[in-house]
Amino acid sequence: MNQINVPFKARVTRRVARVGAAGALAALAALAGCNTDKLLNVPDGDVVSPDVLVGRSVLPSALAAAIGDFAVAYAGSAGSEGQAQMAGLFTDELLNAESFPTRIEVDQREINPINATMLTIFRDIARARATADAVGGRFKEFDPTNRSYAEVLALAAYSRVLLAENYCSGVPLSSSNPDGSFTYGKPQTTVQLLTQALAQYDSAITIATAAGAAGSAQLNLARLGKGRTLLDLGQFAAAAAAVSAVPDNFRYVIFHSENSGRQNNGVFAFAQLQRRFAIPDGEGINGIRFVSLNDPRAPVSRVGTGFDAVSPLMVTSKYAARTAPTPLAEGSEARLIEAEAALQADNVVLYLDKLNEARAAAVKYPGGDATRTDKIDTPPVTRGEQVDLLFRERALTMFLTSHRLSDLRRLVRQYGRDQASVFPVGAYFKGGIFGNDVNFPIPFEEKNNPEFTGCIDRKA
Amino acid sequence: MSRGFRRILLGALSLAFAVPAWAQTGTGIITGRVMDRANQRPIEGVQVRVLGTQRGAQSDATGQYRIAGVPEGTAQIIAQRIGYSASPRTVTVTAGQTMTADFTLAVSATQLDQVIVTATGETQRKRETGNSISSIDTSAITLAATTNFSSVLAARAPGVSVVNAGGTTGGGSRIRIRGSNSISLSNDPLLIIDGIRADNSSASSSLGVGGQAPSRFNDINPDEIESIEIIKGPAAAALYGTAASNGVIQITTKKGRAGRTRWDANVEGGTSKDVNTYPSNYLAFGKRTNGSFTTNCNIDLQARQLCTVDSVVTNSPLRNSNPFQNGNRRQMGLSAAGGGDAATYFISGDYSREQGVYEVNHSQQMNLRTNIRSQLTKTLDAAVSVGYINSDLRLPQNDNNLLGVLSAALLGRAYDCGPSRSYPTLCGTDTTSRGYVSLQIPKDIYAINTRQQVQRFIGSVTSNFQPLSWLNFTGTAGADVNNRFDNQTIPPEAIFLSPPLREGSRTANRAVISIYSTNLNGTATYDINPTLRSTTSLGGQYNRELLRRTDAFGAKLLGGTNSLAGTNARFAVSEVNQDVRTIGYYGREQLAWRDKVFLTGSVRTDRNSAFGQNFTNILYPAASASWVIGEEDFFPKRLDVVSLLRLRSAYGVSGQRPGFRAADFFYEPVAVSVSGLDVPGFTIGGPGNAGLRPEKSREIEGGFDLGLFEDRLSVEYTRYTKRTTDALVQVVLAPSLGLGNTRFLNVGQVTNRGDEIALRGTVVNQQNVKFDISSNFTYSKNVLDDLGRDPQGNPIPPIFQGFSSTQVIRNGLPLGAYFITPIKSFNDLNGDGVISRVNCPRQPVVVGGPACEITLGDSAEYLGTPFPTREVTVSPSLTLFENFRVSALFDHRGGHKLQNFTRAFRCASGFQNCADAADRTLSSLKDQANLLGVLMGTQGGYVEDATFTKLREVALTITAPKSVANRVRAGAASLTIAGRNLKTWTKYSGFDPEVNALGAGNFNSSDFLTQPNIRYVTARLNLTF
Repeated sequence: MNQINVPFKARVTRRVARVGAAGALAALAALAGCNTDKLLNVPDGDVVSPDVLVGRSVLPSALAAAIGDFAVAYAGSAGSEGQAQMAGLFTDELLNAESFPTRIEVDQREINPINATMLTIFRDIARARATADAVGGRFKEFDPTNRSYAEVLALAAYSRVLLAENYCSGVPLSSSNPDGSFTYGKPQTTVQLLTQALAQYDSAITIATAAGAAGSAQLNLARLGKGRTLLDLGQFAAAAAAVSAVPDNFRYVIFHSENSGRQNNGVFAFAQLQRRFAIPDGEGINGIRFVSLNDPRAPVSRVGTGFDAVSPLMVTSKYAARTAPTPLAEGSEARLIEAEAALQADNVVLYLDKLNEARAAAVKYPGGDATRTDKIDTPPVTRGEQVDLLFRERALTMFLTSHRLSDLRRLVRQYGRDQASVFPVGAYFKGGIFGNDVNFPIPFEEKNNPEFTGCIDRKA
Repeated sequence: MSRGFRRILLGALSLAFAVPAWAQTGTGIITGRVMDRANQRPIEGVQVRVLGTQRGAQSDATGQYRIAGVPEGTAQIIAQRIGYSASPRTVTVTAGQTMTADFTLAVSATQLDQVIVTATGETQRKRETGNSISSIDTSAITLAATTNFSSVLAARAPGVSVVNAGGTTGGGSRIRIRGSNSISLSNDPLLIIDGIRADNSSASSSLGVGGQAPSRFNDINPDEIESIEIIKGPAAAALYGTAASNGVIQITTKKGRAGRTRWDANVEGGTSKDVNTYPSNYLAFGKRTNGSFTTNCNIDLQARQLCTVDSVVTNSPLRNSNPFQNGNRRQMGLSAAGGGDAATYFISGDYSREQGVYEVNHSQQMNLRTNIRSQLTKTLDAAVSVGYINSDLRLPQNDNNLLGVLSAALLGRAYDCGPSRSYPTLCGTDTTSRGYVSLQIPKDIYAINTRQQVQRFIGSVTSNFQPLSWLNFTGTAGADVNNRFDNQTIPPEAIFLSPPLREGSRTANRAVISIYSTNLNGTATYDINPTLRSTTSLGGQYNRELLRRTDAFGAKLLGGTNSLAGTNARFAVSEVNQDVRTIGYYGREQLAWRDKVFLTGSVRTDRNSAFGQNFTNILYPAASASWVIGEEDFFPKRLDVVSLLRLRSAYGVSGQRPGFRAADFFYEPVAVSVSGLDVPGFTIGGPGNAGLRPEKSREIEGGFDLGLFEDRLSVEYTRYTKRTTDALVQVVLAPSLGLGNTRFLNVGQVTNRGDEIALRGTVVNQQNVKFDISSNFTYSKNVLDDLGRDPQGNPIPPIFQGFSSTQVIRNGLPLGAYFITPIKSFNDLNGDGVISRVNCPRQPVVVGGPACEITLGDSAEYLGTPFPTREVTVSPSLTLFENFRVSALFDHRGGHKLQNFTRAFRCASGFQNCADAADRTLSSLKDQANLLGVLMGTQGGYVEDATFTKLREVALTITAPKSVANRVRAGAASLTIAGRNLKTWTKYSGFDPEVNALGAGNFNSSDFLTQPNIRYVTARLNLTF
């Protein structure tokens, strides 16, 4: 067998050698000459490319994008704080029950511009503003009469209002362009931001009004936003007029869900799940005694000890679950705006009526002392006491909704109070004393904006 | 069936069974024995190769070798083994005959003729390369003293730094070769196993346990490794292309050899122990100025006259409820190697189990390997290498984690809330914590079951085809496919720290991480004239890195279940798919003159799917020169001292690709609650950069290899400079844009410089006494030349990172440098034994208090690098009567710092429970100043000198006389008793200067409640049949 096969195998072997050599060379040549573009074209199904987000059909997703980014910026999530918490921590609504220095700085009103926590929340509110502006542009292009366009405009305006109320004067608004380049914004004064917001609210009101009854929620959201903005600008009568048609039972809330950490209620997550923030009882001498009051609009109870293993963990049933909604605009706020306008007009009777209407309209949460919202029969005697009552009512009614910081600043700016008489002051319970900040600084990282040099004004 | 097809089929069948035929036609066999010239004893493990072919064999315990299928005619064969001088011989082979070629090898510390594998898959001798390439011969390492692959690598080669992140069983290590090149990308070296790329992630997990994570490097079983080559930088790694700028670790697994089947069995057992002493927690109870009771009247509050101390209480949760136990280590392995003229094989199986010093920290791993090499025809061979890994690792909670063992203890209470309840008011309802801040003792926390299960396949096929004597093709194709399953079960009603933990949950994250490699290379060799040889290679390579991952989570777990099926709320699922592809072509030309002077030039060009769409391809050139000047006639031979000298120099460029999707602008899908319903939405994902290109590292190195005293002592010296340009910098975006935090730009520049010395010597080589010593010295310097400028032309500001932002990426400093305000001075001015910060600038004012006693620097300063700048290892080995061998490994690292964040956080955070804070009699003035520094805004006092020297390994190996081995029917038997991490000399005040709470992280380095390295004592029995 071998005698027959050996020569044949040898021939085959030589042939294989020749063919193999030629094949290997050909493979090398083919490898060098083939079209590699195809090999390097990698599909990516996990994310969305900007070029597919066009047309009318994407508007529902775009609306969700605007609401989602605003929800994270305003109410926080399981992973990051929102304006509602940080404004609360900065004022007398929350105290720090943990050990993270970046959040202690905020509680102590001594914020370093390199504070990483504050960078995140500024980026989130900037993103909410940018997304709402961009989504508004899509609606304007593809469905300009849609009532959701009014909602998006209102959210864009609310983003500006939060930037104006909580940050120093001089917030820049920048944007990215379709070609990947950036348009950097110049610092906007507080008044400029509020003026832009007013224009957006007016546009929203126009669109929502045209939508008829179907657009009533968007309409009242815009009306309340406009009233709040005018209040910030000190235009009290105009503010009252803007909100006069908002019914007592109107509520626009940011919904939360257990579906994902991003959708969780941030106040609940950071307070009750992570034990980082607790509700104080008269923080820094001037603070409202939320714990002692146990008002049903802001009921407080203890659920243990904070992350620092020392601070009593006082929490509110207003935010008792991951799914608890965060109010953005409610009828009770409209009545409080009217009460303030009445006070400004020296109409104390109307002021008291509106306060009582606000008390009646306010949502009461479980566990609070119901007598705290009984009707007030007689108004305080002095003007100062009347102002105190108004702002206390606002604090309790709009507890942890990012109104308190703006209110304390307004007390300084519009009512002539000394900042040491309204903000937390004195010894800070984790050591040292309270600082002098009355608003949030723009994060240091904004220096990457060539148009930005720093806050224009850090005063209240 | 056609006649042609029948002939092809017949031909193929004939080829398949043709080996004996071709073996008898035109080929012969070379056999022989390899002996030690000094003592005339056989040498095992000597590689005997036929030059110019892939044929070779390895000598067995009797020194015998056998190479079949050697083409008739004159054959150059060479015998080589690390520690001996290579010995070439010429043999005339007659077809069908067996030729004998015996070797006697002399002990030699030089390695010039050692064969290494190049990037093209070819082999070449070290003398031919102008680069410094370190080879680690695993047969020379006492494996009993190592615990995983990282420990095999540690302290073995100059320029290679391996820092074990802690004493967690299954934890990873930070591996750096010639420092860190990249500011933003991984600095892990490329890993090549038998010619194909393998997963080189040093922190491979989707679940966090506080800091430590498993490393894929440690999947590799050291018992399977024949040799490790360290290709240190771009000068040598240019042909590896867009992946090799961090250097390359190239592993060759064991192969079979012709001859009788050799069985190797080993069994290992041992213990491990935590040998550290941990401090107790302290609190000073006292009265405030208003008379009220306070549990924290620390030295600062005392100095500020805010309280007076009544008593100091102390408690050690670790003593109340000891979480430690003695660990143990079990390992057993069996391998068979053998083969015939047609094919050789190596088959091995290995099982290891390690129980850490916590009950819930253990791992078990099974490694299987089959390597087969077959000479298919006279011109064609094929080698199949298949490895399979199956592992199961359980990790404990620790480091930056309140549920961690050390974390919960060291941040815990200074009083025992246990059965004794000395402080019932303070303990409240807590009757079980024993002082642990997690509110439960570790044995309760151990209910959390965090695991990683890995099933990994690494397989390759390599074929060499030599159709003509001067032309050779090498093709390699293979894959590393890793099925990783990260999962965690938190039983309900087991963990009380927070409501979500109490509800219980299950996380199940499954990932398939695959790397596919294909190489094809052709090499032509021809003699231009009798003294000048040219070798030309052309080739191409295609690599694909694929990640397919699905994460799933559910809460409110049904007791008794440990599956997503038992969860009832907050279901979450996500998917990650990544695909990165590289295509490269290369060419290489080498000129060898008289086998003494070698000049090599090469170039490679790559395209990669992760490059920006505006960038197409990149070019990586390289050149090297090597001159064995010691073999020149003019070199003075009368000098008895210098027996060998080689001069070498090399230059090369290599790169590293951007991360997947880094170049793309994209939106991420998210769920949004709209009117109470969950609906699909999106949010900004990445800002992208269409011009993104790879980082480019250029390296130039030069040095010499010196043989002294008849090569009994060798010195290898190398100096290198490596500069990385186009370094990817995560440029922070103006937050007002509302985009992501950062965007990558190719703007940075990093330089690494260093000197490496490797000394090897045989001091004594007598009949019954042999004393070897090897030592490595590394000096390295890393500096960020430039962080670059943003598109507006503004310098990019420093990037702060690490715990409390103590580290920085800043021009002029090493990457990750500690940069923080220092404590300049302190002085107990009023002599009260306490340092105080009162009346210091911007600090509390106390009327009647002391003047300022502590002075801080005006601003942040460079306090040091977290990476050792000098590393010295010394490894002596004494062999007596051939039967007793004692070896040790001393490992010194210095010139670096470590943030003792454990102490800083205990003393000066909200916990303030260290002795320094509570009791001035227990702390030095310096300790007090460090603590007060934190309260004044700087952790500078806690950035400490981390220089250390460790007695890393000691091993005693007893080799049984052959007669004794034969009694158990073994050819050879040896017993090794070894210890690891036996002693540490350091001034560092923490538990271990070698740990990192951030695992194998790029730069972040901090000792933060990390389990220190543990001591091992093991015994290993090796039997050969």
